[in-house]
Amino acid sequence: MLILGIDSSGHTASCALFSDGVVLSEYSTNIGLTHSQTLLPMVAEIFSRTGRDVKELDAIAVSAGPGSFTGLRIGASTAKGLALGYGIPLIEVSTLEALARNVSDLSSPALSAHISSSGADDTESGKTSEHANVSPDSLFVHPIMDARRNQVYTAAFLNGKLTGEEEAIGVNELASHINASGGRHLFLGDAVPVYKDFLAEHLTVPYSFAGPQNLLQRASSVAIIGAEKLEKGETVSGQDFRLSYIRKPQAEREREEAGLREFDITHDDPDKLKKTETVDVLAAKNYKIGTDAGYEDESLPENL
Amino acid sequence: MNDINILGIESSCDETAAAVIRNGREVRSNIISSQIAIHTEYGGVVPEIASRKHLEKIDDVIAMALKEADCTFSDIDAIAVTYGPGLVGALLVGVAEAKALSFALNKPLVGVHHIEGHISANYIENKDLEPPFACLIVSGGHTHLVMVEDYGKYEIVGRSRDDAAGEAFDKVARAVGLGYPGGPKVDNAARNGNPHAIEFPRGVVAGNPYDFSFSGIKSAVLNYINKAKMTGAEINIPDLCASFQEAVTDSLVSRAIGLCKERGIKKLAIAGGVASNSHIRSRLESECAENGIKFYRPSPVLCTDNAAMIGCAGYYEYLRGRRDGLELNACPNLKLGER
Repeated sequence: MLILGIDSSGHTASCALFSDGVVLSEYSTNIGLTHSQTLLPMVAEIFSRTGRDVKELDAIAVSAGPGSFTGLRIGASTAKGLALGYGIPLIEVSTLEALARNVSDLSSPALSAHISSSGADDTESGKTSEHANVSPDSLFVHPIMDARRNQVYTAAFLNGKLTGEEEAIGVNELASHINASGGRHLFLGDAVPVYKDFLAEHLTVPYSFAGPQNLLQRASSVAIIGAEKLEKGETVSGQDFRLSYIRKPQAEREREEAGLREFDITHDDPDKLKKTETVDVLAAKNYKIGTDAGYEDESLPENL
Repeated sequence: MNDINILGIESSCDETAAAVIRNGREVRSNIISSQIAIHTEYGGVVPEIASRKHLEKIDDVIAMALKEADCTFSDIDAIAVTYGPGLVGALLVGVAEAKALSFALNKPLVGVHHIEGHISANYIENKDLEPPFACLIVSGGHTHLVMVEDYGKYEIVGRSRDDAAGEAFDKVARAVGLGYPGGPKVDNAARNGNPHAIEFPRGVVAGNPYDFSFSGIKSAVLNYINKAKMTGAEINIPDLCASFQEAVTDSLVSRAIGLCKERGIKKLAIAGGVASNSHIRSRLESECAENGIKFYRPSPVLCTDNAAMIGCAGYYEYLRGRRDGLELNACPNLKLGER
């Protein structure tokens, strides 16, 4: 099984080849260049360096969000173009789950005594927990990605399993949730440098931060999760691939905050609108052009 | 000579499009997924929404372009993609997809300038049209008067110093409550109006006689509306639209015809979304006829953003030997003739 992993959801552009349990090669750069210029040349390089034929590829696993909107789209459209060209499927991998996978070996409670590198005082723990099965030794992994506006994209993982859901949440709120949850907490992701001091100040439970080697998105983690999903048949076609941005576009949020719904703007009958909801307004059409000189039609088709 | 098939891809604004073009001028398929229904709700194109929708639709559009052209990737000789100018997030989707496809299929990649695409739309229905000719480009983002000296070789003779003509249409349409998109709405409203009911300025600029200015016309219209609102005077929307359109058309037509006369050019083409405006088309047609100039215009469906024009422009770039690498980036402010 040969899987290409791709992640360009943050400042790092990364790609990796994963073959039958072995990470054959992984390229990552975090040098401030646009992913549009770095990502595909790295993919080309990884195939030429490993000598693996692209024709052997079974699937492409790609970060499907959350993350930088533009960064995610560069990764996704690159993956989609490759998948379309090779005729292979895609695998959607949560950026947060992949980040948590960077430190998955640390999730075992048996190892927990060794990971407190932050100098946090372990004896502070022992608060009553929100989770019934949380022991003081339980290690929660929190990937946190900077979502601006004092928020982070985050989710909590316990022994590799997602607890709760992926969300965009204020750091304040995140700290109080964590303080109420008991256990021990490991943070990683690009929001760590941003909120490290804030968290150190506000957390009352034992915590630590991942080191630079594990801190940011890695395509190998994406590819490894991709391999697991491929075995379970969890693949999608390029057409069906969707990113999970978590956050809606600003214009859409503002419109919703103003309490406007579609029929308020179009002055359509809301019942009528409901009935036509299944219509794909983006449906692609073939606009035929006459092959002889001359002008077939002097008016623009209505839906353009 | 073997046929050359180009797969064109376009995603610079709010149309996701792909097309297969044979030998430069034969459109085998011309697929467009238009987002206009979505952006109309916001009164204009929302870049983030446009980018998201491009990503959702691009595979569908490409697959359909091949299917409708009755061909497969193996029949494609090169991939042409718009890499600027346009909305950066929107451009990036098409560029990244085209690059990955070109790498996966081992087919040459040709980056195309969006405006060069619009100009080339004229070649598709006019098999006799060859450079040199003059071209007036009017769209939501651009107003240019250029000399097309050869395929891929342009002299920009005049350009807008401020707003693009299409922007002025959008703003005027919004001000009188016609909504988005302004071009077709104003065009329709103006059909029943008197183009000489209100005299708006013609936007003369100092320096280059071929440069345009539309912010003055736009401001004059907005002032007229505000004044009418304050005094309680009724605004005749058809008259206002017709008079505004007349002012814009005068600015465009006088410069385009002026250039042809000054340089003795016998061929004039128009391009861009606003080139489907019925008044601009008919005025240019009659003035060209009066002055012995052959007038070329694409069908409205080829004036709007589409990938057939990108495939056509890409074909000539391909013949000229242009090849782009995997590091091709989206260039939102790409200048015409820039490489």
